[in-house]
Amino acid sequence: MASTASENESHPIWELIPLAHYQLPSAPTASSAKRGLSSLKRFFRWRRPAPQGPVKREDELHALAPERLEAVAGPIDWRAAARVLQTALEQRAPTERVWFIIGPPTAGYAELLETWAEQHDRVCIPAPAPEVVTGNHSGWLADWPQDGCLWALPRLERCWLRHPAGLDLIRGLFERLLSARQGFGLIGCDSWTWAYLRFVVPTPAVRALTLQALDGERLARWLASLAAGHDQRPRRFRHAQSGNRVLTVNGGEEMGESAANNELRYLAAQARGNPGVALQRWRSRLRSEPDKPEAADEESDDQPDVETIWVAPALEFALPSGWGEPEALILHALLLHDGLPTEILAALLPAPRARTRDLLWQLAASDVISADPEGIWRVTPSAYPAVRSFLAERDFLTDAC
Amino acid sequence: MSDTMDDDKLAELFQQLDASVALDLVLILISAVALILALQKALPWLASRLHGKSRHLVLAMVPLLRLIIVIGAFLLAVPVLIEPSLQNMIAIFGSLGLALGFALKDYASSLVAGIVAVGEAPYRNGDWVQIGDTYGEVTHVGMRAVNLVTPDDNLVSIPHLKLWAEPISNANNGTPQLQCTVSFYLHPNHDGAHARELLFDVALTSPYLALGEPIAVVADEQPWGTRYRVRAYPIDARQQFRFATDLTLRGKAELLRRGFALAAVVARPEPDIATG
Repeated sequence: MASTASENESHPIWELIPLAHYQLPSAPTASSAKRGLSSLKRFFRWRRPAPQGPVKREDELHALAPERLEAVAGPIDWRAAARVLQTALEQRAPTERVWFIIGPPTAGYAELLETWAEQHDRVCIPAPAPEVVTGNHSGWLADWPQDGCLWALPRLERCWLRHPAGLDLIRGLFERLLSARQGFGLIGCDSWTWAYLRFVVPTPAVRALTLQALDGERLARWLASLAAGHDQRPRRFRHAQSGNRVLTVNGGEEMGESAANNELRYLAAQARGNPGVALQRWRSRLRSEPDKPEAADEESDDQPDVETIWVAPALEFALPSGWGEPEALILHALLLHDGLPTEILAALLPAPRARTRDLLWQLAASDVISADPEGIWRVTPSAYPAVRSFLAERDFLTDAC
Repeated sequence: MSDTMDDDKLAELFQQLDASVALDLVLILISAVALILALQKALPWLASRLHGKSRHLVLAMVPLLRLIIVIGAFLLAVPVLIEPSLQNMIAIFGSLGLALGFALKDYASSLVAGIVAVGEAPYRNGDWVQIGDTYGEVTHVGMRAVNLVTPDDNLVSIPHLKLWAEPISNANNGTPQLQCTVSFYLHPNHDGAHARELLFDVALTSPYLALGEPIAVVADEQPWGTRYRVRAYPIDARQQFRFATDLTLRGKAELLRRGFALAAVVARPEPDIATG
């Protein structure tokens, strides 16, 4: 990484800020115009053939093998962010008994709290089961760490359901939190749940923090740190269309402008600064040449050890144009709860259960949602920005991130 | 002799009607009609791809732009057709007004009311209005009449002249916000505060609810029980019946689940007036 230490200090990758100070990264002007034009074309359903003459054609390249992908764009390591959280906690005022860490879907706020709790040997409170949320929850509230013990509740979005019987627990919890009966703690909350809870419980009295969005510079440094890998091999990421360098790591050469190049600024803006979305989109674009997956390209003859990884052009994720209210209701419910299993989702929606099930499979076939091994449906990271726009256009409640 | 003189005077009002004048008139007419047809197709198409306020704004522009085209076409056609002097204008429009006033009184009244409707906007495309006994969504504000589509999917055409005498109830007035009211009838012996909180949550948790808008639960006593009315706004005016159905079904289910008894009125035969 070429960034200096002072730059890193003034513009750290992970920065904890009040939710109201959250700023979306801006796209480079040319990219904004390009995106606007492409939205307009989509609006009028006009498509133009792809421009000719890429440096590397898509059929010349292969997706990275899973082990290579893990090595150059592996999962997010939350330990550094957890240290930032701990530093902030050490400076908290004694009156601040509860902090809320808010984050958009796939941004990893729950993992951050779990990592922090593990690092500092704190009690991590598991979320209640859905039947506890809608039924008798006095036991769950009573079974809380003793006062004086710092605790973490990583998933507040699992403590409520958008159902007349699904709000009592969260009201009871907030009453206890605000009257300081639950001691000191950290609560992780999905930004969509937080947006909805404003209408259910009094939230202004509590401290709501979030990780600042990744802009182009932060994203470049973060992706470079992921790509550094354990082998410390110099790597260069080149754009398959233009041939330009997108990212260089492990001393391949000075990062300079390439660190904050337009490609990564655009990626940051496209992902709304969300690390989960940015990483997923980045991973989906990485390619290698099939006959020389780790070989140097012609540009690195002077540096034969530099591994070149190709970055495919960015694709906009577009939702099918015919989608309307039934799809919007499902997607909104999934985002408000950061995922739901089929049966609970069907109980929250007005559509017949069979119709909801059918729609879930249709949405899954379009890669807009996917189910985890526990059967919980979530909006996929790649579709998230498009889904958010889709709901915002239809005046559904959206989050602040 | 006098008839011949009157004919001559009348002929003097008009331009010499030759092929070029006829061509001008036809061109003006065709252009105006083509523009209006294109407008009436294009703007609703555009609106169908938009949502919320922008949809209502685009729909409301249709009658206004059409009126501008009609006035423009009229202003272009008059000098082509008649000698544009004050005397001629008064003579022609005076005669025209007299004829319309007697023969086509209601039609002319509807046309004038149509112009007033564009200016005062008591209804616009996309509004939900009640005119007389008809409730529905305004789909077309024409020159003479307004078209409503009722919840039963019937198209009802109502002349604008109703504007003069009938009250027009507009539920959303050019915005997507439309208040829905759903009533619940409970047995009078119950915990009213609990019922009110529960019904508030029923509205708050409806997936159709516009969350920025107020929710109100209004209660009043009736001879047969307590009536609760939940007033809330769906996200889009077009969702009003689905929203009301959702509130009704989930509200009723939740009231029963929590042990509330619904009011039930026993049906009795009509009293015999003769025997008292």
